Amino acid sequence: MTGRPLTILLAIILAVLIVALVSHHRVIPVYPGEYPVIAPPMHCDIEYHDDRVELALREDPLLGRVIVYAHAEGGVYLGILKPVYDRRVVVRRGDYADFRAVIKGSSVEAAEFLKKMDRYEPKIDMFDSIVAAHDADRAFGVQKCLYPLCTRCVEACKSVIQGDNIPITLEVKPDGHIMPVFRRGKCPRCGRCFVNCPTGSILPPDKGRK
Amino acid sequence: MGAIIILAYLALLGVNAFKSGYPWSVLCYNCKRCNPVCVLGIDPQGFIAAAYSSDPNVYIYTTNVRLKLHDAMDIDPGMEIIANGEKTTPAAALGKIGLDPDMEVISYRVRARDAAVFCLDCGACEKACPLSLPISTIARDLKKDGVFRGK
Repeated sequence: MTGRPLTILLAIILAVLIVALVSHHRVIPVYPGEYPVIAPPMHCDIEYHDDRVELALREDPLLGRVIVYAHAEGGVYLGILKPVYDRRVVVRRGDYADFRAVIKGSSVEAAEFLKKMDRYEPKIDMFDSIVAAHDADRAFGVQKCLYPLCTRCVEACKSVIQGDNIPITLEVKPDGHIMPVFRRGKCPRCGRCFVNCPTGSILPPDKGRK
Repeated sequence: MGAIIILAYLALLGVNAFKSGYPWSVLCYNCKRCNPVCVLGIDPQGFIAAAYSSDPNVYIYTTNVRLKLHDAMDIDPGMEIIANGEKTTPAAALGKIGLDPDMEVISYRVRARDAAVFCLDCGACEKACPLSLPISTIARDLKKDGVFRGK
């Protein structure tokens, strides 16, 4: 006698769970017909001094901080997060890299922090790395996108969560900086990527058009 | 007697966590998995400690924020910074030691409300948290006006 109501109750709970799960993963295009826009890369003019490199940015970064990067031998990408004052970033001798990543082709294979509490392991001087990159004709410069430190756009993407074709990847461009790249086919146009991007590297369609 | 004191202390933490608006903060068991993933060296558990003590002025480790000495002085003269490889405060660095105000220093321990302003909101701490606690919501709320959601 008690078996039937229990079965009905279980069926109701199961139905509620299924509805909740489906509605959570439903992709609703917020900007139908329009796709997010990738902000153009950040450019800078570089001045070399004996003890420092000064980078004059051509735009104000949203966060007030940018990644200064330099490619080293063996596909290693070194980065330091520097504050911007009056659109200028100064990398001095004795400024050690905050992180390094291993680049394979156009993607980042692995990344690790070099700053551990109050010490660096190992100490890699960013000033020397920039000068070495300049002398060896390797890429260096400033980067707006915080990848590989931040992956919010990819993690927030509904298509990525659902495990469909991934519309957004982060790639190393030929001039050495990393930025998001879109493959439009599977983009649900939900707007989660640009809402979650803290640096303005991905823009909503209306801002991107301006 | 000891058990009563411990229970009273835990109850106080719970009440504070509710007061600050983040009751889930009492779930944090300080596993420190969030700590090594912040590029700014912010100890995200510090935000949680600030929440369950209901005090945004708690000093938390923030070991990798570069800023100019005069900025550090404007933000909080009592924060701990590293200047020329030595731990000091902006007040001492500018006063007794006499360093250049335009010199770039690295933070070491700052108030939770100031660490929230530095936070890049990259979400790495939440990703590392085994309980998926929404740690960055505390930073976002503090960043707005320096007070907790519940205040």
